[in-house]
Amino acid sequence: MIRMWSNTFQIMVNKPTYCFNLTRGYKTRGEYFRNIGYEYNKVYKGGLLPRLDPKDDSIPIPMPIFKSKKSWSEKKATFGQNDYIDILGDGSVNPVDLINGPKWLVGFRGNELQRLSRQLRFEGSQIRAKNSNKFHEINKRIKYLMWRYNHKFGGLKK
Amino acid sequence: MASTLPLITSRNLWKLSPLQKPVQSWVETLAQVEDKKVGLVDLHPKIFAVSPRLDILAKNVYWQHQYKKIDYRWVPTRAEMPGRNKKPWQQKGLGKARHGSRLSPQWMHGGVAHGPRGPKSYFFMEGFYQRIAGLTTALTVKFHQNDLHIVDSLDIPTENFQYMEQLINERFWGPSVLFVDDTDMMPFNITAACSKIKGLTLMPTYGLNVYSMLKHNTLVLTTKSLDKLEENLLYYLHHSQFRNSPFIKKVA
Amino acid sequence: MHRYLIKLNKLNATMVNPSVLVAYSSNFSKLSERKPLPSRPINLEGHEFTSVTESKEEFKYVKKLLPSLVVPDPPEHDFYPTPSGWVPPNNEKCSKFPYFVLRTRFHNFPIYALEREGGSRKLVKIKRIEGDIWKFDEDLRNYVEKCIEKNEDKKLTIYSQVNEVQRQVMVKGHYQDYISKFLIECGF
Repeated sequence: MIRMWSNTFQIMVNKPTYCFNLTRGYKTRGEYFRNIGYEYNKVYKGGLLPRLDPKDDSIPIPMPIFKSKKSWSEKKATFGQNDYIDILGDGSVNPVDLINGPKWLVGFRGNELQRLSRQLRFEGSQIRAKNSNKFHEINKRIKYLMWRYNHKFGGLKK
Repeated sequence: MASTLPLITSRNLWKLSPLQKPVQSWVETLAQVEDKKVGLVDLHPKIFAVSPRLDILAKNVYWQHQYKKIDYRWVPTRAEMPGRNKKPWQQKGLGKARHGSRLSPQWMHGGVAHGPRGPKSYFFMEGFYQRIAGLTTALTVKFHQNDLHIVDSLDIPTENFQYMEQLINERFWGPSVLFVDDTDMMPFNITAACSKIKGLTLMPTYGLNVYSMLKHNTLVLTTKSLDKLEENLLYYLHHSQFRNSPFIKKVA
Repeated sequence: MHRYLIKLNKLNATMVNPSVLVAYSSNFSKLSERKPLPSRPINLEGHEFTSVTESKEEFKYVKKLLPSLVVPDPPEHDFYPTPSGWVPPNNEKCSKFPYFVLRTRFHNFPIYALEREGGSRKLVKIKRIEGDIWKFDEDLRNYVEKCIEKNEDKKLTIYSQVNEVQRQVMVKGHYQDYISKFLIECGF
């Protein structure tokens, strides 16, 4: 406890003390931590600006670092190559053959029910053999979608 | 390698109708920095003088973006959330709102009702003749806007990338150039030079597409790739395959 | 939004509504060989087979029967029009006009008669017009009006629509005979 004397009145102040080797035998008055985790230096204390000074690099601003788009990287410069290979090539290769992705989705587009049933046709036995919950969940979802598409008003939402 | 005499003066155009006149273009070389013409060549009007269909161009670009797209986002519903689906508190008597589970969508950390569900594809195929029309309009647009250059071959004297830079600046060929040759394997010098400059890409003829033609400022075709291009496009513009489809073997 | 029933067996889904897109089937693949169908083992003992001879000279008779993949040029006839009424394009007549009409890949006129709205709306579409479309449209209308006056003794105005972007002209009414006469006269 520190006593501060002034002309008019006497003030008793409990200042925060940071003692890292603190051992407490008995709780004594005044030895307690206030505002744990509070960061004192984030509020701007002086001058006209109500916000942080942007020129001060020590305080980090919550904004992402600027990354320029690599518009001429190899991937982007050659985007779309071989899309017309069935016209401009032999005719033996089709652009569908060049799509990478899950096998049940290459060259296929459908709503959720169609996708899930197709997934089971392609991979159902494998998923079931792994003993995972996924097989059960997919079937649950298929049942639910069947009910929704066929019996609920406005059922098929994309 | 620099040639002063005109080497290429004529070309055979296949299936040219008597009503249409062919369009003409210079043939240049990459053997020296200065712009020297090596010949004058006819181009088929059904490929290089088509009335441009910009709507078909836009559709082709959209198709190229979309047909390969697979969206892998997946978010679980309340039935797929891990954990038990127990009623949090009794229905009546507590004065609290009535709930059946802590995993329903109105709760924090609950399942999503209508979220993205699983790998989803945006696949579709643009019509065959729409794609051909896209290629032909892109080629006509490039040609008529002075962005198409025909070159005898892609041979360069040095592998120095500054040579390419000077060449492109001399001829006002724009910051990005697409070189198209008939083969997969390009000569060593041009690959070494283009690998160090951004914006220069090398492609075989079968890799040509509408998106790349519009992305790059200039298109540079070799005479071999021109021949191959015209051959393929004219074949499909004049084939009678659908009439003969019962007699043609299909893949099983 | 319309509802439709979806028949579904657990591992074998089939859709009733055929308008939904399903797997892409390629018709444009190269002429690759068909996969061999599974065959049962056949006992060939005790059968008598005729002998087989290979002859590469006789294949030319087979070639005549095979269809050509590319549409061939039409043969030269002595008299035009041919018995079917076909006339080849005439270069001398064409050069006078500021427009021309290209032929289809099968050497026909690009004239298509359409019936819309259950057959009550009759239109004729003329495609592949190059050059000054508006002039073509004017000349076409004048010619067809004259033809109708001569043949049917009627004074009609013909209505047409010009589609500049797609290089087409749509004419109201099934006047494809008169339009084809116009194109033959122009020499397209």
